[in-house]
Amino acid sequence: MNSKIISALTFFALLIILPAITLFRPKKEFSDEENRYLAKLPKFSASSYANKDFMNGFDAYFSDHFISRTRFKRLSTDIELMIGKTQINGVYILPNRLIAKVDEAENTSVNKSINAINTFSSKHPDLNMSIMLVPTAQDIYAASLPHNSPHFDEKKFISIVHGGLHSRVNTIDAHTPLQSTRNEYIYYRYDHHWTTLGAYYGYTTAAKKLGFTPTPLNNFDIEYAADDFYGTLYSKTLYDKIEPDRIELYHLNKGVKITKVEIDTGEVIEERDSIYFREFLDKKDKYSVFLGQNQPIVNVHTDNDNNERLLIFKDSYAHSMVPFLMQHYSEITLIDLRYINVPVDELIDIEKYTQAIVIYNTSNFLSDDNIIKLGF
Amino acid sequence: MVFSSLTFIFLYLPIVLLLYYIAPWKAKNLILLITGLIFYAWGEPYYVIIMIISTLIDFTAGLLINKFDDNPKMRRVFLIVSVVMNLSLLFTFKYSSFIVTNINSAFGLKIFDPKLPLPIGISFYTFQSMSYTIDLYLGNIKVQRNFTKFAAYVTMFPQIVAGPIVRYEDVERELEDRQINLTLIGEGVGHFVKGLAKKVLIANNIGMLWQAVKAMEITSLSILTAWIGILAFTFQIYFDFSGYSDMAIGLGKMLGFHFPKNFDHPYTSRSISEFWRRWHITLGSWFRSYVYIPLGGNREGTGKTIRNLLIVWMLTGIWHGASWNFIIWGLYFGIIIILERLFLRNILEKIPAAISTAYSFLLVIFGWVLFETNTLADAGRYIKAMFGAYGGFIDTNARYLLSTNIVLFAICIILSTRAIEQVGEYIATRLPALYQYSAPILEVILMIICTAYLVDSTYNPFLYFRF
Repeated sequence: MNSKIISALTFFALLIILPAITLFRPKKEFSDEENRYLAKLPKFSASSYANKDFMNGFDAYFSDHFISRTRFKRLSTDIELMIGKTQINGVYILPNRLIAKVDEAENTSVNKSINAINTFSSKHPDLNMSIMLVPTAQDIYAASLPHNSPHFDEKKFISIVHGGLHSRVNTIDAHTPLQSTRNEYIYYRYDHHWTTLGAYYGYTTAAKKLGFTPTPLNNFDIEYAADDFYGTLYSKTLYDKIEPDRIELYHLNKGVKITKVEIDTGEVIEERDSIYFREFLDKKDKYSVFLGQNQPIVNVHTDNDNNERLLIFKDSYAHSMVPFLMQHYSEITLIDLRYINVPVDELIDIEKYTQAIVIYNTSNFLSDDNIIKLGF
Repeated sequence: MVFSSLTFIFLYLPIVLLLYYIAPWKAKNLILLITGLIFYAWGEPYYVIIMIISTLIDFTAGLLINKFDDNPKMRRVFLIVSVVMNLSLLFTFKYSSFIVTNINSAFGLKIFDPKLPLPIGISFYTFQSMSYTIDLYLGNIKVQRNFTKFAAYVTMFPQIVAGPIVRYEDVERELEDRQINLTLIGEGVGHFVKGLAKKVLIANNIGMLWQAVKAMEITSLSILTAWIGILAFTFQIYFDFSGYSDMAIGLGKMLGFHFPKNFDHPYTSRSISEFWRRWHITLGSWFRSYVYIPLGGNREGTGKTIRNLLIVWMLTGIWHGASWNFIIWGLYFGIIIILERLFLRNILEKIPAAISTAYSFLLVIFGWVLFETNTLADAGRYIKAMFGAYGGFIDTNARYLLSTNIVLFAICIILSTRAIEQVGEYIATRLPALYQYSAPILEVILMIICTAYLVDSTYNPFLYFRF
């Protein structure tokens, strides 16, 4: 048979078999691998035709449900690495870990955020206000990034932010302790968060500034709750050639206990008796074992009766610090500014808190334009 | 719809081809017409109407030009109607905003700018259907009395959005009667897969490098970063555009049509005149046939020739988009071509090939700066950056960009030359069987890799939205 005929036949075989399997096999709603909902088949109507929602939605649907999507994506990652690329989808691939790139260009509202924090602290002069910006792995492991990679200097960034804040705001340096413990397991290999140990080092520095003696590590029993955690950076690259992560839960072996955890989703208030949401240990998104996914307001009550109350404005980095901070307070309230739309003092009674702290990783602090809500 | 999408390759294409192959001969053109409209409407749900209207007018103009065969005045009137109609469509959708903005800023006026979005492919299909009425007027072709056949020619999906500019003359015979067989289809598959790989694997990848450089402040670029950036665009536009043409030619063959070649190793040219005989060949030949030669070409003395060349190159520039950059870009090449005609040609023929190739490649690269920056001021700044106005020779950025893309650059350079073809010919003479049967295997591998990239596509642009 002539080779052109073989070309034609194999081409048509591919063109028929791949879409046939794609269309006729059962569809998934959620991709664990990529940690997101897959596109649904759009409805055809005059308006979805006219504004192209149907066409764009269909393209997304067909691509999201394409046969062997994960394997195809992994193949493209492998080829990219083969031809010398060192980052995939904004993630550096290192021999022993994945590291999220920080894009300096996203710096659009940092000055407004700083002003908002200043405004908030001057509106509430009795509240002892602190800030802790946590560096991300791309800064702590800057020396291990692929040769010549652009690197965002977070230490410098943090000191610029600190310089812009009113002297009333206590600044907490998380960079130094993390830098000096960089050879320990302080960042996940497949996820952009710090590990529980990393959060512990953050806590020891913060506690001193907040006026407490940090509890030594040997007062905690460490539980290895999961050892197959593939986090957000895995989802972005589907790169799977390094060791999966371990989720560690630290339990205080004696002392303060949690009495009640209230999750205010904005619609309902859900009550729990633990800061550990163990159902997430069986899911893809295992980091959410720490107080679940981001919610507008979370209240943590303890049996500590010192009447110290802490208000945290935070991103998800703060979640893994709560197991350490909780022992020093009778109540901790976490507010995620991304999910609230009214001024903070309309939402909670700020007077009852003794301290407030802003906890963000530098990358989020750089790009998030919700921190300005503190100034409202 | 675009060729480099999963929906096109794995849904539209198999369904359309299946229908097309099983349909009786009489219905094949109708299928081309209907599927072409669907293809177009997928990207332009409203503007598909404009294409239909334009097709109807040109078809009717053709009938009338033919009807008044012995009345030169009337023939001319209907030709003018067709040309004016096509040019006004182009003018309204493509140039009105540019002209209004310029008039407003020159005279301090506030004329309303409707800011109409540009219909995809309008510059391609208006030029295609004009080729029909003009050639009919000139007596080069016969009238088409069957609307389906004519409309199938205009709307046929392979060439509608990004060329090649197929003239009616090129497919006149095949619209009536064409051969479709597995060997021709297999050839088409070869072209298509090659084009797809050029677009998805090479152009999109090297294009991301250009995007990274483009996102930086021009005044912060080191010499090397600026050169890496514009070189990346140089390869992106070539592999994207020629990849698109290859796919179109391949799809044409699958349908039984032979479209003209559009690119022929342009970056190996030894002069700018030669570059333009190898780059977007169908556009150059369109302007040559319908503008340059009717104006008198080079038969009326040096002065007129220079005038004609300047007109053609200004039009070529503005055909690519409504902005001063494109006009200057066209005139830039016009002037170089005039200089080459006047005296450079003799020099270029005598000097070593390496020097004349470098000469034309460099001039083309500077051309791309004009082409790809948004304003003339940006173009000026970018060129200054290439000569070190804002930084040293090399910086961390340049090191990173170069070290992570060096393999890609090497691939681009090799694929821009005839090296692969020459190796292929060598193998074909020594080991014909290996050569023959490695083609289908290579095609399957490339198809799978392209699919992997399309499934994971983060950057898959359509570059011709301004054309």
